[in-house]
Amino acid sequence: MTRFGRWLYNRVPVDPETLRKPLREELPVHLKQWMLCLGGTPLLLFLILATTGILLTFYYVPDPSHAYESVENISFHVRFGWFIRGIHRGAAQLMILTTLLHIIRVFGTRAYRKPRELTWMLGVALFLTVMGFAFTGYSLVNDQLSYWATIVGTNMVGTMPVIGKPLLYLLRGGPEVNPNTMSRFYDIHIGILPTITTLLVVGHIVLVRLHGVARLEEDPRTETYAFFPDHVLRELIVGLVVVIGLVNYAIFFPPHIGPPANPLITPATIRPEWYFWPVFRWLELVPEMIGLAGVLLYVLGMFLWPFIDEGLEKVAPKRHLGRIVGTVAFLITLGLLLWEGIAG
Amino acid sequence: MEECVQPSAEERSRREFLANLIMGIGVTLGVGSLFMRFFQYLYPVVEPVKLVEVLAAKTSDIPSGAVHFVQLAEGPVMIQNVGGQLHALSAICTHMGCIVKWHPELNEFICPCHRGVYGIDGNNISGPPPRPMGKLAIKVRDGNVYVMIPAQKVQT
Repeated sequence: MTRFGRWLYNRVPVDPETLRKPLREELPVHLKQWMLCLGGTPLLLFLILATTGILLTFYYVPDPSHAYESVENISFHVRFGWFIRGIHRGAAQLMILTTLLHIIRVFGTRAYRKPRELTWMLGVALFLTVMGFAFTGYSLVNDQLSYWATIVGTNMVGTMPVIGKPLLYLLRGGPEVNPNTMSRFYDIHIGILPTITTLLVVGHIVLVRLHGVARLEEDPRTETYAFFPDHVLRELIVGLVVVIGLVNYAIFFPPHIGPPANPLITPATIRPEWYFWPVFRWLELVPEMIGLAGVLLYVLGMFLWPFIDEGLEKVAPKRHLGRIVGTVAFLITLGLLLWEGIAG
Repeated sequence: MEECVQPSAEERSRREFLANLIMGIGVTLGVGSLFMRFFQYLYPVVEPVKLVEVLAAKTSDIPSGAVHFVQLAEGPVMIQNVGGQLHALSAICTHMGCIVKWHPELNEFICPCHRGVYGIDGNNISGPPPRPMGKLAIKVRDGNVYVMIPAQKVQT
Protein backbone atom coordinates (compact mmCIF):
# COMPACT_ATOMS: atom_id res chain seq x y z
CA MET A 1 0.00 0.00 0.00
CA THR A 2 1.34 3.43 -0.87
CA ARG A 3 1.81 6.12 1.77
CA PHE A 4 -1.28 7.93 0.57
CA GLY A 5 -3.17 4.63 0.50
CA ARG A 6 -2.26 3.97 4.11
CA TRP A 7 -3.19 7.53 5.09
CA LEU A 8 -6.59 7.14 3.43
CA TYR A 9 -7.14 3.65 4.87
CA ASN A 10 -6.52 4.99 8.40
CA ARG A 11 -9.22 7.60 7.86
CA VAL A 12 -11.64 5.50 5.79
CA PRO A 13 -11.12 2.01 7.17
CA VAL A 14 -12.61 0.03 4.29
CA ASP A 15 -10.60 -2.84 2.85
CA PRO A 16 -9.83 -1.97 -0.82
CA GLU A 17 -10.50 -5.61 -1.66
CA THR A 18 -14.16 -5.18 -0.58
CA LEU A 19 -14.47 -2.29 -3.00
CA ARG A 20 -12.87 -4.24 -5.82
CA LYS A 21 -15.09 -7.30 -5.39
CA PRO A 22 -18.15 -6.02 -7.29
CA LEU A 23 -15.90 -5.13 -10.24
CA ARG A 24 -14.83 -8.75 -10.54
CA GLU A 25 -18.33 -10.11 -11.00
CA GLU A 26 -18.65 -12.67 -13.76
CA LEU A 27 -21.44 -11.99 -16.24
CA PRO A 28 -23.18 -14.44 -18.59
CA VAL A 29 -21.99 -14.06 -22.19
CA HIS A 30 -25.41 -13.08 -23.57
CA LEU A 31 -24.78 -9.61 -22.10
CA LYS A 32 -22.31 -9.03 -24.90
CA GLN A 33 -25.27 -8.38 -27.19
CA TRP A 34 -26.46 -4.78 -27.02
CA MET A 35 -30.16 -5.65 -27.01
CA LEU A 36 -29.58 -7.76 -23.92
CA CYS A 37 -27.68 -5.19 -21.87
CA LEU A 38 -29.92 -2.16 -22.33
CA GLY A 39 -30.19 -1.41 -18.64
CA GLY A 40 -26.98 0.61 -18.57
CA THR A 41 -28.12 3.03 -21.28
CA PRO A 42 -30.99 4.63 -19.28
CA LEU A 43 -28.54 5.06 -16.39
CA LEU A 44 -26.11 6.91 -18.61
CA LEU A 45 -28.99 8.99 -20.00
CA PHE A 46 -30.12 9.80 -16.45
CA LEU A 47 -26.67 11.25 -15.74
CA ILE A 48 -26.72 13.23 -19.00
CA LEU A 49 -30.23 14.52 -18.20
CA ALA A 50 -29.21 15.50 -14.67
CA THR A 51 -26.17 17.41 -15.97
CA THR A 52 -27.97 19.24 -18.79
CA GLY A 53 -30.98 19.76 -16.51
CA ILE A 54 -28.84 21.52 -13.90
CA LEU A 55 -27.36 23.66 -16.67
CA LEU A 56 -30.84 24.60 -17.90
CA THR A 57 -31.88 25.77 -14.42
CA PHE A 58 -29.24 28.53 -14.64
CA TYR A 59 -31.40 30.38 -17.16
CA TYR A 60 -34.87 28.90 -16.79
CA VAL A 61 -37.44 30.91 -14.79
CA PRO A 62 -40.22 28.76 -13.29
CA ASP A 63 -42.89 31.43 -13.38
CA PRO A 64 -45.80 31.41 -15.87
CA SER A 65 -45.18 34.99 -16.92
CA HIS A 66 -41.47 34.41 -17.65
CA ALA A 67 -41.07 30.70 -18.32
CA TYR A 68 -41.78 30.83 -22.06
CA GLU A 69 -39.45 33.81 -22.57
CA SER A 70 -36.71 32.08 -20.61
CA VAL A 71 -36.97 28.93 -22.75
CA GLU A 72 -36.88 31.14 -25.85
CA ASN A 73 -33.83 32.85 -24.41
CA ILE A 74 -32.10 29.51 -23.78
CA SER A 75 -33.01 28.23 -27.26
CA PHE A 76 -32.07 31.29 -29.29
CA HIS A 77 -29.85 33.69 -27.32
CA VAL A 78 -27.80 31.98 -24.63
CA ARG A 79 -24.48 30.70 -26.00
CA PHE A 80 -24.97 26.98 -26.77
CA GLY A 81 -28.37 27.14 -25.06
CA TRP A 82 -29.93 25.35 -28.04
CA PHE A 83 -27.30 22.65 -27.69
CA ILE A 84 -27.90 22.02 -23.98
CA ARG A 85 -31.68 22.06 -24.43
CA GLY A 86 -31.35 19.87 -27.53
CA ILE A 87 -29.30 17.26 -25.66
CA HIS A 88 -31.72 17.38 -22.71
CA ARG A 89 -34.70 16.93 -25.02
CA GLY A 90 -33.05 14.21 -27.11
CA ALA A 91 -31.83 12.35 -24.02
CA ALA A 92 -35.35 12.48 -22.57
CA GLN A 93 -36.81 10.93 -25.73
CA LEU A 94 -34.09 8.31 -25.84
CA MET A 95 -34.53 7.60 -22.13
CA ILE A 96 -38.14 6.60 -22.72
CA LEU A 97 -37.24 4.56 -25.79
CA THR A 98 -34.37 2.65 -24.15
CA THR A 99 -36.32 2.10 -20.92
CA LEU A 100 -39.17 0.66 -22.99
CA LEU A 101 -36.76 -1.57 -24.94
CA HIS A 102 -35.17 -2.71 -21.67
CA ILE A 103 -38.61 -3.58 -20.25
CA ILE A 104 -39.56 -5.45 -23.44
CA ARG A 105 -36.28 -7.36 -23.34
CA VAL A 106 -36.65 -8.36 -19.68
CA PHE A 107 -40.26 -9.26 -20.38
CA GLY A 108 -39.35 -11.34 -23.44
CA THR A 109 -36.62 -13.31 -21.71
CA ARG A 110 -38.70 -13.63 -18.49
CA ALA A 111 -35.80 -12.39 -16.39
CA TYR A 112 -38.29 -11.09 -13.81
CA ARG A 113 -39.08 -14.54 -12.40
CA LYS A 114 -38.38 -15.67 -8.83
CA PRO A 115 -36.33 -14.36 -7.04
CA ARG A 116 -36.10 -11.19 -9.15
CA GLU A 117 -39.68 -9.93 -8.78
CA LEU A 118 -38.66 -6.88 -6.75
CA THR A 119 -36.00 -5.91 -9.29
CA TRP A 120 -38.77 -5.87 -11.93
CA MET A 121 -41.13 -3.87 -9.69
CA LEU A 122 -38.47 -1.26 -8.99
CA GLY A 123 -37.89 -1.15 -12.75
CA VAL A 124 -41.58 -0.48 -13.44
CA ALA A 125 -41.51 2.24 -10.75
CA LEU A 126 -38.51 3.74 -12.55
CA PHE A 127 -40.42 3.69 -15.84
CA LEU A 128 -43.26 5.59 -14.15
CA THR A 129 -40.83 8.20 -12.80
CA VAL A 130 -39.46 8.57 -16.34
CA MET A 131 -42.98 9.25 -17.61
CA GLY A 132 -43.45 11.70 -14.72
CA PHE A 133 -40.25 13.47 -15.72
CA ALA A 134 -41.45 13.69 -19.32
CA PHE A 135 -44.85 15.08 -18.37
CA THR A 136 -43.64 17.65 -15.85
CA GLY A 137 -40.63 18.58 -18.01
CA TYR A 138 -42.69 19.36 -21.07
CA SER A 139 -45.16 21.43 -19.06
CA LEU A 140 -42.32 23.74 -17.99
CA VAL A 141 -41.79 25.02 -21.55
CA ASN A 142 -45.17 26.77 -21.21
CA ASP A 143 -46.07 26.76 -24.88
CA GLN A 144 -49.54 25.83 -26.09
CA LEU A 145 -48.83 22.11 -26.12
CA SER A 146 -47.38 22.13 -22.60
CA TYR A 147 -50.23 24.22 -21.21
CA TRP A 148 -53.00 22.04 -22.63
CA ALA A 149 -51.12 18.83 -21.84
CA THR A 150 -50.98 20.05 -18.22
CA ILE A 151 -54.72 20.75 -18.23
CA VAL A 152 -55.58 17.32 -19.68
CA GLY A 153 -52.99 15.39 -17.66
CA THR A 154 -54.01 16.87 -14.33
CA ASN A 155 -57.72 16.50 -15.14
CA MET A 156 -57.07 12.84 -15.77
CA VAL A 157 -55.79 12.54 -12.21
CA GLY A 158 -58.90 14.40 -11.03
CA THR A 159 -61.27 11.80 -12.50
CA MET A 160 -60.04 9.12 -10.09
CA PRO A 161 -62.74 8.18 -7.60
CA VAL A 162 -62.40 9.48 -4.00
CA ILE A 163 -58.73 10.55 -4.07
CA GLY A 164 -58.94 12.24 -7.50
CA LYS A 165 -60.01 15.69 -6.41
CA PRO A 166 -57.65 16.10 -3.41
CA LEU A 167 -54.81 14.80 -5.56
CA LEU A 168 -55.71 17.24 -8.33
CA TYR A 169 -55.74 20.16 -5.88
CA LEU A 170 -52.42 19.05 -4.45
CA LEU A 171 -50.85 18.72 -7.88
CA ARG A 172 -52.20 21.99 -9.26
CA GLY A 173 -52.01 23.94 -6.02
CA GLY A 174 -55.65 24.91 -6.58
CA PRO A 175 -58.75 23.78 -8.44
CA GLU A 176 -57.55 25.22 -11.76
CA VAL A 177 -54.12 25.42 -13.41
CA ASN A 178 -52.63 28.56 -11.82
CA PRO A 179 -49.19 30.06 -11.08
CA ASN A 180 -48.79 27.55 -8.21
CA THR A 181 -48.96 24.71 -10.71
CA MET A 182 -45.75 25.62 -12.46
CA SER A 183 -43.74 25.92 -9.24
CA ARG A 184 -45.08 22.55 -8.19
CA PHE A 185 -44.23 20.90 -11.49
CA TYR A 186 -40.78 22.48 -11.37
CA ASP A 187 -40.22 21.15 -7.84
CA ILE A 188 -41.41 17.71 -8.86
CA HIS A 189 -39.21 17.77 -11.98
CA ILE A 190 -35.97 18.98 -10.42
CA GLY A 191 -36.29 17.91 -6.79
CA ILE A 192 -38.77 15.19 -5.95
CA LEU A 193 -38.48 12.94 -9.02
CA PRO A 194 -34.66 13.03 -9.19
CA THR A 195 -34.50 12.02 -5.50
CA ILE A 196 -37.00 9.18 -5.96
CA THR A 197 -35.29 8.08 -9.18
CA THR A 198 -31.85 8.03 -7.55
CA LEU A 199 -33.15 5.87 -4.68
CA LEU A 200 -34.93 3.53 -7.11
CA VAL A 201 -31.88 3.26 -9.37
CA VAL A 202 -29.68 2.38 -6.39
CA GLY A 203 -32.22 -0.22 -5.22
CA HIS A 204 -32.58 -1.65 -8.74
CA ILE A 205 -28.83 -1.95 -9.28
CA VAL A 206 -28.14 -3.36 -5.80
CA LEU A 207 -30.76 -6.06 -6.41
CA VAL A 208 -29.38 -6.85 -9.88
CA ARG A 209 -25.89 -7.22 -8.39
CA LEU A 210 -27.06 -9.24 -5.36
CA HIS A 211 -28.88 -11.78 -7.51
CA GLY A 212 -26.42 -11.67 -10.37
CA VAL A 213 -27.60 -11.23 -13.96
CA ALA A 214 -30.35 -13.73 -14.84
CA ARG A 215 -29.31 -16.44 -17.29
CA LEU A 216 -31.31 -16.81 -20.47
CA GLU A 217 -33.85 -19.62 -20.30
CA GLU A 218 -32.90 -21.36 -23.53
CA ASP A 219 -29.23 -20.42 -23.60
CA PRO A 220 -27.02 -23.49 -23.02
CA ARG A 221 -23.82 -21.43 -22.76
CA THR A 222 -22.22 -21.39 -19.33
CA GLU A 223 -19.22 -19.17 -20.14
CA THR A 224 -18.88 -15.88 -18.35
CA TYR A 225 -16.83 -12.73 -18.73
CA ALA A 226 -15.66 -10.10 -16.29
CA PHE A 227 -17.67 -6.99 -15.40
CA PHE A 228 -14.43 -5.01 -15.29
CA PRO A 229 -12.90 -4.18 -17.68
CA ASP A 230 -14.72 -6.22 -20.39
CA HIS A 231 -18.31 -5.24 -19.74
CA VAL A 232 -17.51 -1.70 -18.64
CA LEU A 233 -15.71 -1.18 -21.96
CA ARG A 234 -18.75 -2.43 -23.86
CA GLU A 235 -20.99 -0.06 -21.92
CA LEU A 236 -18.55 2.76 -22.69
CA ILE A 237 -18.80 2.01 -26.42
CA VAL A 238 -22.61 2.05 -26.19
CA GLY A 239 -22.34 5.28 -24.20
CA LEU A 240 -20.15 6.88 -26.85
CA VAL A 241 -22.58 5.91 -29.62
CA VAL A 242 -25.43 7.39 -27.55
CA VAL A 243 -23.54 10.64 -26.96
CA ILE A 244 -22.58 10.95 -30.64
CA GLY A 245 -26.22 10.30 -31.58
CA LEU A 246 -27.45 12.93 -29.13
CA VAL A 247 -24.98 15.57 -30.29
CA ASN A 248 -26.05 15.00 -33.89
CA TYR A 249 -29.70 15.09 -32.92
CA ALA A 250 -29.20 18.41 -31.14
CA ILE A 251 -27.34 19.84 -34.14
CA PHE A 252 -29.61 18.62 -36.93
CA PHE A 253 -32.91 18.91 -35.05
CA PRO A 254 -32.38 21.91 -32.76
CA PRO A 255 -35.17 22.28 -30.21
CA HIS A 256 -38.09 24.42 -31.27
CA ILE A 257 -40.79 26.08 -29.24
CA GLY A 258 -44.48 26.31 -30.10
CA PRO A 259 -46.69 29.37 -29.73
CA PRO A 260 -46.89 30.64 -26.11
CA ALA A 261 -49.49 29.18 -23.77
CA ASN A 262 -52.90 30.71 -24.30
CA PRO A 263 -55.54 29.69 -21.76
CA LEU A 264 -58.19 31.21 -24.05
CA ILE A 265 -57.71 28.91 -27.02
CA THR A 266 -57.18 25.20 -27.25
CA PRO A 267 -55.32 24.70 -30.55
CA ALA A 268 -57.29 22.95 -33.29
CA THR A 269 -54.73 20.18 -33.58
CA ILE A 270 -53.28 19.11 -30.32
CA ARG A 271 -51.66 15.93 -29.21
CA PRO A 272 -48.94 15.04 -26.74
CA GLU A 273 -45.47 13.62 -27.42
CA TRP A 274 -45.35 10.14 -28.99
CA TYR A 275 -44.92 8.25 -25.73
CA PHE A 276 -48.34 9.39 -24.53
CA TRP A 277 -50.07 8.52 -27.82
CA PRO A 278 -51.42 5.11 -26.69
CA VAL A 279 -53.05 6.69 -23.61
CA PHE A 280 -54.26 9.66 -25.69
CA ARG A 281 -55.93 7.42 -28.30
CA TRP A 282 -57.33 5.15 -25.60
CA LEU A 283 -58.97 8.12 -23.84
CA GLU A 284 -60.56 9.15 -27.11
CA LEU A 285 -62.07 5.71 -27.66
CA VAL A 286 -63.68 4.96 -24.33
CA PRO A 287 -65.69 6.81 -21.65
CA GLU A 288 -63.77 8.68 -18.97
CA MET A 289 -64.00 6.16 -16.12
CA ILE A 290 -63.21 3.16 -18.29
CA GLY A 291 -60.31 5.10 -19.78
CA LEU A 292 -58.79 5.82 -16.40
CA ALA A 293 -59.53 2.37 -14.97
CA GLY A 294 -57.87 0.85 -18.05
CA VAL A 295 -54.69 2.88 -17.58
CA LEU A 296 -54.52 2.11 -13.85
CA LEU A 297 -55.12 -1.61 -14.41
CA TYR A 298 -52.44 -1.67 -17.11
CA VAL A 299 -49.90 -0.12 -14.75
CA LEU A 300 -50.93 -2.44 -11.91
CA GLY A 301 -50.65 -5.41 -14.27
CA MET A 302 -47.13 -4.31 -15.21
CA PHE A 303 -46.15 -4.01 -11.54
CA LEU A 304 -47.47 -7.40 -10.56
CA TRP A 305 -46.48 -9.13 -13.79
CA PRO A 306 -43.98 -11.59 -12.24
CA PHE A 307 -46.73 -12.88 -9.91
CA ILE A 308 -49.40 -12.90 -12.64
CA ASP A 309 -47.08 -14.86 -14.92
CA GLU A 310 -46.32 -17.32 -12.13
CA GLY A 311 -50.05 -17.76 -11.50
CA LEU A 312 -50.77 -18.34 -15.20
CA GLU A 313 -47.97 -20.88 -15.33
CA LYS A 314 -49.59 -22.76 -12.44
CA VAL A 315 -53.05 -22.65 -14.03
CA ALA A 316 -51.87 -24.04 -17.36
CA PRO A 317 -48.28 -25.25 -17.31
CA LYS A 318 -46.31 -25.11 -20.57
CA ARG A 319 -49.10 -23.21 -22.37
CA HIS A 320 -47.11 -19.96 -22.25
CA LEU A 321 -50.26 -18.06 -21.24
CA GLY A 322 -48.10 -15.30 -19.74
CA ARG A 323 -46.32 -14.80 -23.02
CA ILE A 324 -49.65 -14.69 -24.89
CA VAL A 325 -51.26 -12.17 -22.48
CA GLY A 326 -48.13 -10.00 -22.48
CA THR A 327 -47.79 -10.08 -26.26
CA VAL A 328 -51.46 -9.13 -26.72
CA ALA A 329 -51.05 -6.20 -24.27
CA PHE A 330 -47.90 -5.11 -26.09
CA LEU A 331 -49.58 -5.34 -29.51
CA ILE A 332 -52.60 -3.34 -28.30
CA THR A 333 -50.28 -0.62 -26.97
CA LEU A 334 -48.28 -0.59 -30.20
CA GLY A 335 -51.52 -0.57 -32.21
CA LEU A 336 -52.86 2.45 -30.29
CA LEU A 337 -49.52 4.24 -30.73
CA LEU A 338 -49.43 3.61 -34.49
CA TRP A 339 -53.11 4.47 -34.89
CA GLU A 340 -52.59 7.84 -33.22
CA GLY A 341 -49.36 8.32 -35.16
CA ILE A 342 -50.96 7.69 -38.54
CA ALA A 343 -54.53 8.89 -38.11
CA GLY A 344 -54.12 11.53 -35.37
CA MET B 1 -34.10 -4.89 54.18
CA GLU B 2 -36.28 -4.81 51.09
CA GLU B 3 -36.28 -7.89 48.99
CA CYS B 4 -35.47 -7.40 45.36
CA VAL B 5 -37.67 -9.66 43.23
CA GLN B 6 -36.41 -10.23 39.72
CA PRO B 7 -39.24 -10.31 37.12
CA SER B 8 -39.64 -13.61 35.29
CA ALA B 9 -38.61 -13.90 31.61
CA GLU B 10 -42.26 -13.95 30.56
CA GLU B 11 -43.00 -10.83 32.58
CA ARG B 12 -39.93 -9.11 31.13
CA SER B 13 -40.93 -9.82 27.58
CA ARG B 14 -44.48 -8.57 28.26
CA ARG B 15 -43.09 -5.38 29.78
CA GLU B 16 -40.76 -4.97 26.85
CA PHE B 17 -43.60 -5.50 24.41
CA LEU B 18 -45.81 -2.93 26.17
CA ALA B 19 -42.97 -0.41 26.35
CA ASN B 20 -42.24 -0.89 22.63
CA LEU B 21 -45.93 -0.59 21.80
CA ILE B 22 -46.32 2.67 23.72
CA MET B 23 -43.14 4.10 22.23
CA GLY B 24 -44.18 2.95 18.75
CA ILE B 25 -47.57 4.63 19.05
CA GLY B 26 -45.93 7.79 20.39
CA VAL B 27 -43.41 7.95 17.56
CA THR B 28 -46.09 7.26 14.92
CA LEU B 29 -48.36 9.98 16.29
CA GLY B 30 -45.52 12.47 16.70
CA VAL B 31 -43.95 11.97 13.30
CA GLY B 32 -47.40 11.56 11.73
CA SER B 33 -48.57 14.93 13.04
CA LEU B 34 -45.36 16.51 11.74
CA PHE B 35 -46.03 15.09 8.26
CA MET B 36 -49.64 16.21 8.57
CA ARG B 37 -48.38 19.80 8.82
CA PHE B 38 -46.26 19.26 5.68
CA PHE B 39 -49.35 18.00 3.89
CA GLN B 40 -51.47 20.92 5.11
CA TYR B 41 -48.78 23.33 3.96
CA LEU B 42 -48.87 21.83 0.47
CA TYR B 43 -52.66 21.60 0.22
CA PRO B 44 -53.94 24.82 -1.38
CA VAL B 45 -56.20 27.21 0.48
CA VAL B 46 -59.19 27.63 -1.77
CA GLU B 47 -62.08 29.94 -1.08
CA PRO B 48 -65.55 28.42 -1.63
CA VAL B 49 -67.06 28.73 -5.11
CA LYS B 50 -68.93 31.99 -5.56
CA LEU B 51 -71.29 32.92 -8.37
CA VAL B 52 -70.19 36.23 -9.82
CA GLU B 53 -72.11 38.33 -12.31
CA VAL B 54 -69.89 39.25 -15.23
CA LEU B 55 -70.66 41.46 -18.19
CA ALA B 56 -70.20 39.13 -21.16
CA ALA B 57 -71.57 40.86 -24.27
CA LYS B 58 -74.11 43.26 -25.71
CA THR B 59 -77.39 41.83 -26.97
CA SER B 60 -76.68 43.46 -30.32
CA ASP B 61 -73.53 41.29 -30.65
CA ILE B 62 -75.60 38.12 -30.75
CA PRO B 63 -78.23 38.10 -33.51
CA SER B 64 -80.79 35.31 -33.68
CA GLY B 65 -79.16 31.96 -34.50
CA ALA B 66 -75.66 33.15 -33.63
CA VAL B 67 -73.21 31.60 -31.16
CA HIS B 68 -70.88 34.07 -29.49
CA PHE B 69 -67.65 33.05 -27.73
CA VAL B 70 -66.39 35.22 -24.90
CA GLN B 71 -63.30 34.66 -22.83
CA LEU B 72 -63.90 36.04 -19.37
CA ALA B 73 -61.26 36.15 -16.67
CA GLU B 74 -63.39 33.59 -14.81
CA GLY B 75 -63.58 31.19 -17.78
CA PRO B 76 -64.64 30.78 -21.42
CA VAL B 77 -68.34 31.13 -22.21
CA MET B 78 -70.54 30.44 -25.25
CA ILE B 79 -73.63 32.63 -25.53
CA GLN B 80 -76.19 31.64 -28.10
CA ASN B 81 -79.36 33.22 -29.39
CA VAL B 82 -82.01 30.62 -30.15
CA GLY B 83 -85.04 32.40 -31.59
CA GLY B 84 -84.49 35.52 -29.50
CA GLN B 85 -83.86 33.50 -26.32
CA LEU B 86 -80.32 33.83 -24.92
CA HIS B 87 -78.52 30.86 -23.36
CA ALA B 88 -75.04 30.59 -21.94
CA LEU B 89 -72.86 27.51 -21.73
CA SER B 90 -69.45 27.03 -20.18
CA ALA B 91 -67.06 26.37 -23.08
CA ILE B 92 -64.94 24.01 -20.98
CA CYS B 93 -65.16 20.42 -22.15
CA THR B 94 -66.52 18.19 -19.40
CA HIS B 95 -64.05 15.46 -20.35
CA MET B 96 -60.56 16.84 -19.75
CA GLY B 97 -61.06 20.58 -19.52
CA CYS B 98 -60.03 21.83 -23.00
CA ILE B 99 -61.98 24.67 -24.63
CA VAL B 100 -64.57 23.52 -27.14
CA LYS B 101 -64.97 25.19 -30.51
CA TRP B 102 -68.25 26.08 -32.24
CA HIS B 103 -68.60 24.63 -35.74
CA PRO B 104 -71.54 26.46 -37.39
CA GLU B 105 -71.46 24.24 -40.48
CA LEU B 106 -72.13 21.16 -38.30
CA ASN B 107 -74.19 22.93 -35.64
CA GLU B 108 -71.95 21.29 -33.07
CA PHE B 109 -69.40 22.13 -30.40
CA ILE B 110 -66.29 20.02 -30.89
CA CYS B 111 -63.45 19.62 -28.43
CA PRO B 112 -60.06 19.57 -30.19
CA CYS B 113 -58.36 17.47 -27.49
CA HIS B 114 -60.21 14.14 -27.67
CA ARG B 115 -62.89 14.93 -30.27
CA GLY B 116 -65.81 15.18 -27.89
CA VAL B 117 -68.94 16.43 -29.68
CA TYR B 118 -71.82 18.42 -28.15
CA GLY B 119 -75.07 19.55 -29.78
CA ILE B 120 -76.20 23.16 -29.97
CA ASP B 121 -78.02 22.69 -26.63
CA GLY B 122 -74.73 21.62 -25.01
CA ASN B 123 -75.73 17.94 -24.69
CA ASN B 124 -72.89 15.50 -25.26
CA ILE B 125 -73.52 13.60 -28.50
CA SER B 126 -70.42 11.51 -29.11
CA GLY B 127 -66.84 10.98 -27.99
CA PRO B 128 -65.64 10.71 -24.42
CA PRO B 129 -67.37 13.67 -22.62
CA PRO B 130 -69.24 12.25 -19.61
CA ARG B 131 -71.90 14.96 -19.32
CA PRO B 132 -73.38 18.02 -21.11
CA MET B 133 -71.57 21.36 -21.12
CA GLY B 134 -72.25 23.39 -17.98
CA LYS B 135 -75.28 25.69 -18.27
CA LEU B 136 -74.80 29.20 -16.89
CA ALA B 137 -77.54 31.55 -15.69
CA ILE B 138 -77.91 34.72 -17.72
CA LYS B 139 -79.29 38.21 -17.03
CA VAL B 140 -80.09 40.84 -19.62
CA ARG B 141 -80.09 44.44 -18.47
CA ASP B 142 -80.03 47.64 -20.58
CA GLY B 143 -78.93 45.79 -23.71
CA ASN B 144 -76.10 44.06 -21.84
CA VAL B 145 -75.76 40.34 -21.25
CA TYR B 146 -74.48 39.28 -17.84
CA VAL B 147 -73.45 35.73 -17.11
CA MET B 148 -73.46 34.17 -13.65
CA ILE B 149 -70.20 32.31 -13.53
CA PRO B 150 -68.73 30.23 -10.71
CA ALA B 151 -65.39 31.65 -9.55
CA GLN B 152 -62.87 30.50 -7.01
CA LYS B 153 -59.88 32.30 -5.55
CA VAL B 154 -56.64 30.56 -4.70
CA GLN B 155 -53.77 31.77 -2.56
CA THR B 156 -50.69 32.03 -4.77
